[in-house]
Amino acid sequence: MKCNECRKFLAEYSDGEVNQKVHRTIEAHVSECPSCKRELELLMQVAVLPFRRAEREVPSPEVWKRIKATIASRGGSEGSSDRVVWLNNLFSLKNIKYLAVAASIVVLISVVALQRQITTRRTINEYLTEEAYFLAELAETEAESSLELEESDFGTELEYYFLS
Amino acid sequence: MIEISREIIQKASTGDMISFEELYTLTSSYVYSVALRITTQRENAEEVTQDVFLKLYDNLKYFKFQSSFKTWLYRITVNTALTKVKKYANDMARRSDFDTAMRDRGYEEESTQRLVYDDNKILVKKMLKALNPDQRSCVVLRDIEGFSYDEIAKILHINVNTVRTRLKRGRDLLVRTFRKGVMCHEM
Repeated sequence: MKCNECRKFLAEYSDGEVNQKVHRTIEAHVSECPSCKRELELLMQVAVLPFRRAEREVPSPEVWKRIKATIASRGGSEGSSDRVVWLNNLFSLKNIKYLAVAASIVVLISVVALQRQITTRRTINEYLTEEAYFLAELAETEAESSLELEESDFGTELEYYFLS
Repeated sequence: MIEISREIIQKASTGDMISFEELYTLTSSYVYSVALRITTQRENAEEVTQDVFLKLYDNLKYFKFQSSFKTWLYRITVNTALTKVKKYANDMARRSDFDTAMRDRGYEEESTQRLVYDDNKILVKKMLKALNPDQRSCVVLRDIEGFSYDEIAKILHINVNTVRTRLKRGRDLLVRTFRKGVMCHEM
């Protein structure tokens, strides 16, 4: 193995992220090559070990207090946030085909109901027109017959029948 | 990170504050440490920790145990911290150089008074600041949190070769910076 080839894999070698064959080859090269050995030591000292020695940090107690206070202040709006989630789920892509079918059914029912209403209204109008004509004719006929009765001096058709 | 029991997660997901506090106690140092290393600012790290736990409180009910809770929590933390870093960088870019300089100086003075940093802490902070946020996330997850390349790829939702590249470039940069510093010192 050449030095430049070895140095390409030094970081992964130090992390134990190379396969066994490459690991053994680098190990053998580093043990024989002082320059690559120094390079590996430098990499570890300058770019790896300070991080590995870093201690875990702890947040101040104020952070938990703020989290708790925020959750408590949102207590009333919990329901509304659930409603938002519910609405989001309802209008999600998964449900969109069902919503489309439901919308089509609603439109269809509305059209049929509207058409039936128009037909019924037309039938009533026709009936009322016919009724008006009939009443007009009836009034005309009555007027003519009463004129005839007056002319013949009989009070009613019954008198006319018996007395004539 | 220690394993969190399914029972605690399930109870916390129903809004049980005692279980949620237990979850916070068990995991907050991991969340805060990662946030601090990525943002490199104590105040920002605290805000990130707060945001992460509020997101956790809201979304725990959707966690179905199909993936590792640890991976999920680290993913939320890294993403929230990276968003914070970008926002902070944009905010800083809007300010004048004078303001920025004064603020940074003030922060350094304040933090030195408030916290006793040992040498390694200062060194780690400087090294992390030298890296870009993407390289920083990989270095933090690998060298501080001890994740494998595959685990880092899962947490960050990136290809494992991208993890290799980011780590290698980040470490090369640190070695180059060290050499340059030594050379400047010698001159």
